[in-house]
Amino acid sequence: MSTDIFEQVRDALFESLYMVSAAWAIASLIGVPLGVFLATSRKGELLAARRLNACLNLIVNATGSTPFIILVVALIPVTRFIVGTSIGATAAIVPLSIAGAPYIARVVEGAIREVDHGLIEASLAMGGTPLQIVRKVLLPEALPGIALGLTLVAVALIAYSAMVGAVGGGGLGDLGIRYGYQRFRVDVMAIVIMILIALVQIVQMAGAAIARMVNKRVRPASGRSGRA
Amino acid sequence: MSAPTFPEASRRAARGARPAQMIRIEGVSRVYPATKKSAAVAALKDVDIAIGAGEIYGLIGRSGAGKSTLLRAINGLERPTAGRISVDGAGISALDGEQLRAARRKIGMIFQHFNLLSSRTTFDNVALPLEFAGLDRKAIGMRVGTLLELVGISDKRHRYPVELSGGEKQRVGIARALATEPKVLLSDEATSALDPDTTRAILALLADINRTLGVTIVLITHEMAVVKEICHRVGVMEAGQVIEEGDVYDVVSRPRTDIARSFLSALSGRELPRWLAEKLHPDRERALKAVLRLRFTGEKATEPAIARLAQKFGADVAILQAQVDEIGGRPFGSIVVAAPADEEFDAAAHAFLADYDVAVERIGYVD
Ligand SMILES: Nc1ncnc2c1ncn2[C@@H]1O[C@H](COP(=O)(O)OP(=O)(O)OP(=O)(O)O)[C@@H](O)[C@H]1O
Ligand SMILES: [Mg+2]
Repeated sequence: MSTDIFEQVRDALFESLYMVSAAWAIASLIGVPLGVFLATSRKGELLAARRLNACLNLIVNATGSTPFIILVVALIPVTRFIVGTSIGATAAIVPLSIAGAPYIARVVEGAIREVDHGLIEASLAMGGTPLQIVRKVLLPEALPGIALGLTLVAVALIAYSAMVGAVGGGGLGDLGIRYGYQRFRVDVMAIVIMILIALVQIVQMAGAAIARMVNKRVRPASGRSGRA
Repeated sequence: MSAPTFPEASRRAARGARPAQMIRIEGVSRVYPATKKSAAVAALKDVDIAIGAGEIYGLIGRSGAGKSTLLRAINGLERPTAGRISVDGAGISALDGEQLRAARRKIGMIFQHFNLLSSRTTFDNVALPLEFAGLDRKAIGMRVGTLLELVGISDKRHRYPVELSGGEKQRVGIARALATEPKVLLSDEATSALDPDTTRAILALLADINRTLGVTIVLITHEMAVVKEICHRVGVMEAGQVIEEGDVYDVVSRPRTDIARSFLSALSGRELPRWLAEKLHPDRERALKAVLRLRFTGEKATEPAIARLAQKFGADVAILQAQVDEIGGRPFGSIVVAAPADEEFDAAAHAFLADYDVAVERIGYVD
């Protein structure tokens, strides 16, 4: 029986990882370019396109401010259309991606707006095209911020993925609800919670390490021994 | 490495002859439109400047005078609302897109805060404009190597900006600005964030680049040392206009406008001593002594005019402050004296001093 639980937890974990990483990847594919565009398309900016900027801004705001659980329900027809069903881990990827993308876009937009305007000026003075400047200047300079932002969103997606479990999305959330809530298995509930905490912790630490690695604005510590 | 391009032009500029024109600014105005919160600002008003090939031209003036706006108009970062700017024959203010970018590659720019990419090493920072220009890696490697050699930071090629000192960062900035072999270098207070020694080293580098590569340099500065050490000509800006312009020596030793005068004396530390400034007043009637500033220029700067003045008039001409300076090896002196406040003395002294080619300016009176 305990092997049975063990297998169920293992399968749920893999399901969760599958949902979160797929959704995170898709959200990044949409969110990063969207964020770059939002950060550079206001009037007078590199890719100036005021109308489109305003339009996308509205969409991002609307998606970002809809409570996740409502988004899941509202997206059921879309999910059915894309995946063929609205139940299960694969189906959960759709609302997770759509919730993650605007989040990532905002985070990336913020990181890019943080880049010193003097660098854009200098790049223009050097004869860079707007796209060259985005690729060779803005993205690399914003990378530490983007890495932290993507980590933040990964953590949020882990939490969301537990939520979709509640509406039949599979994964750890689903397991927690079925055993922990409906069958009063406190031990299963505890295991689910601990795994979720561990996951968040690992993602958080990995993200911070990567952000630190790509950040060249801080002088590297001169010695290994940090203690005096 | 590119061979020296305009050594002849540079030498001519140094001699003060009219070299071929590199930058022409004609009737340029720039109005920043009004916003909800503030009125329109006329940052430039009908500015005309011609800068010769190989020249080092200094722009000075108070904060907000429009210096940066003018400099940024030269490479099209700023669009004039009226007028024309051409650099090496290309009408910058009329260009767009790829043509503008091509023109900008022929105009380097350096900045007060360096504007280096923190994510790139020294080498990669200098490589950036070459990547923009679409050079292949091999060509970039060779070019960057010579540039780092030129500015003297080859040993820091794999360092990130955060690991460099201010002076080193500016050297990287200069190397980057020179990467595409520009004919013009624009500098907006490039030494303002550096200490005096580093400033001198960077100025020496700029002067060297001007001499050996013949690059025309336009620079903005608030430092007298910069003007005196490397500029050939200066323009004094005030409220969006160039109010005075000429050879550095002439402008610094004999400013014609009040604004230039007060600005220059503040720059060169030739402000009146506090005790004197406090006692000065403009009322001749109740005054015992007039305070005059005498400016000596050229060979006359070394002649003992002041001694002769005292000798001839026997009057008690008291020296309150004296200073001798040098620009490009030519001396000029400034002496503040207290002299009798009567008109007779005035007239006689003026005539006498005119013989010695001394400019007299009455600053005020003391009791
Ligand atoms: N983008 C802008 N929008 C509105 N007004 C501006 C803008 N840029 C500059 N100005 C105004 O134009 C005037 C000239 O500014 P500019 O930066 O050219 O002065 P400056 O001579 O370089 O001063 P400083 O020595 O302080 O650098 C100022 O009154 C400034 O407030
Ligand atoms: Mg300025």
